[in-house]
Amino acid sequence: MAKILLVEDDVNLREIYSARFAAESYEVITASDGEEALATSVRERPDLIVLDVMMPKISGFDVLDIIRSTPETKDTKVIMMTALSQETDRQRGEALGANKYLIKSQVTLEDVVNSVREILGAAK
Amino acid sequence: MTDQRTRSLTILARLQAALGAGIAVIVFGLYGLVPNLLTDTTLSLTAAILGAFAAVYFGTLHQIFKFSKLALSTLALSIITGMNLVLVITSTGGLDSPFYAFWILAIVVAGIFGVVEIILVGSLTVGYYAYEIFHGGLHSQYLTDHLIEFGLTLAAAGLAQWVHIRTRNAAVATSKIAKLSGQLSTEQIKADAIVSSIGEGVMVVDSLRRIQVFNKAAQNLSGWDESSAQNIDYNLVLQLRTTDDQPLNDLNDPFNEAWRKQAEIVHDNLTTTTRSGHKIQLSLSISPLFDDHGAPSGAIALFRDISKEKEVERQKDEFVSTASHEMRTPVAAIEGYISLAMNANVATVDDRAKKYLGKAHDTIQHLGELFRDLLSVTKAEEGQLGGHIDAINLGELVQSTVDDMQFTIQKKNLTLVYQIGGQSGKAIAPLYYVAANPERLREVLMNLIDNAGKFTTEGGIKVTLEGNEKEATVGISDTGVGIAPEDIGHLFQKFYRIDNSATRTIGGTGLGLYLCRRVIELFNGRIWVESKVGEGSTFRFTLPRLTDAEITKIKLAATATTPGVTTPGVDSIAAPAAIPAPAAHPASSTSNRRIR
Repeated sequence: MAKILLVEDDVNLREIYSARFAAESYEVITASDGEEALATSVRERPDLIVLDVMMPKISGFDVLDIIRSTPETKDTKVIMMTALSQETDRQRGEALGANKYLIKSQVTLEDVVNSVREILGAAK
Repeated sequence: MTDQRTRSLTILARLQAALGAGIAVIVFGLYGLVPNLLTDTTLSLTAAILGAFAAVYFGTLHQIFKFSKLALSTLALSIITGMNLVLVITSTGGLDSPFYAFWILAIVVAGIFGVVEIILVGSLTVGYYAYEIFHGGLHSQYLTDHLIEFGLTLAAAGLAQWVHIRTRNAAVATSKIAKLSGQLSTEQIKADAIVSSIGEGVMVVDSLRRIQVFNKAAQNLSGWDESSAQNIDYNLVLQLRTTDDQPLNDLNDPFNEAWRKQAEIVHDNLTTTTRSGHKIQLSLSISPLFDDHGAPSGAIALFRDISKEKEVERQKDEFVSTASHEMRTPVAAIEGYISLAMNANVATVDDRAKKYLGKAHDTIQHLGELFRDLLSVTKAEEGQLGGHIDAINLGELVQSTVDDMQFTIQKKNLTLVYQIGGQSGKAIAPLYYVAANPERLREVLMNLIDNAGKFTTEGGIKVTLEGNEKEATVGISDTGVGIAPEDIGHLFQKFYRIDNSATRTIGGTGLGLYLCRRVIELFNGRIWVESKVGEGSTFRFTLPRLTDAEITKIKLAATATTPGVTTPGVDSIAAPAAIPAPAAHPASSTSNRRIR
């Protein structure tokens, strides 16, 4: 069973995504900010990190940068989720090594689930 | 008094003078040469002729000039002259008569001073005449003297009148000139007052853009006074810059633009630096002036400080932007929770609850779209809508968008076909490359197709692609309800929604077509609609085609800045000149993106 680390500072969205991923029979662990995300990712070694960009303390971009430069997590799949729809932000995310870059306002919950399936399916 | 009447009077006064002088000379001559000729009979006859002449003379004047002052004085003069003739017959003492000296003086003065004096002199004459008749009786011995007197008097009066009229004409002319120049200076003062009291900066430049007029407001705004700004190139004074802080060149100079377009132009995105180094934003409107040959002769510019307005606008946009951002998070949460509730793997609800949840879900999605559109509008206002520009193969982009939309449209039992150059299906499409942001352009297409679907209940939607050397045109036709002519003009305005019962059930934000227009115009295109109520509508937009050189340039620039990033719908420059197989659209996850 694939393990997903969900990093999201909004408590409601955290609950919604957790419940939805759980319904797909994924094991879901959560983190509410960048620091916690980094600690959890090293400890739990998830298969996929769903990473919010706009977070207090450390931004999603910085978290991704550190994940990619940490030996334990450098191959972990990452989906970035953000409200930033600027093309430059997408390019920044992809340059940092995100497997997918989703703009929150442009995707539904089901789209996120599809993306998760797509990436985890390809990993197997 | 008109000029013509003045002229006639002058001639008459001269005639009178000549006539008087003539009579005096003739009578004097006759008297000296042929004394016997002057009998009582001939004298009476002469008197009668002269009397008749006087009557005709003043009668004519009276007729021509009615009761104007001058005519009256001439009339009275003639009466007095006639009376003087009779007085000659009654003989009052010849040239020695004290009356005569007074009388001739009065005549001269009368011509100059007008009616009142004439009446005075007339009364005196009549009075004296009556007195003589009463006391004297009629004698003829002084007749000759008095005939000469008559002639001289007439001549003197005529001369006096002539001089008077001349003087008066000159005076009238002088006063006319004075009046005209007075009017002119009044107009000048008025114009100056208006120009200087206008709250906006007023600047008049000549054809070389040198400042001729620079009003008070302009001086206050720029910190330059009129005399130092006079005759200087306007841009040395205003130092206009674009919003990107670039100085203007001959190409984007607003005066050149106004002369080129031969119409008033308005710019509200220029900044100026005042003499004290302060930067302010300007709204500048320019009316070009042309000479008789159509060459630019100058221009009038009005400008004002809109820094405050821009700041308020920016704050408003920021507020809308922040509010939309902030509200999107709870909206996303609501949407997510409803999705969870409807997901059989997560929750259990009965069918009725599921139906209601479905409606709630649709509604909350609409709300989400509204926020998204508001954000897009804010971006459009800030000029950030464009994104990166790429060379796009329009045919391919349209094809993939139509493929994406098939499912949505077919769900409504409508057909969606893509027609290239009159043939449907997979015809060989010419390559139309345009410069645009592919995502934005795709949104425009989706929005137009989605709109067509919303307002069509049966039939179908046809997407067409045509082009010529200069531009490519995409058309989206439906067989729907159509648009009333009075709505067409407003259709592409912000928040405009056609007010009928249909829109309430169909749902939309009134921003979609506005955004379409902004996007298309951003890429230098045009968008318009042709429609007939009950028959359907056709939306079309054109975009300028790129030349091969331009494509290469854009491609190079794009690959230089974004290595390894490819954009869906963008063909490689080296692709063969046939339409590539519709690419499996990679962004199915984003297929519900709309600008509605």
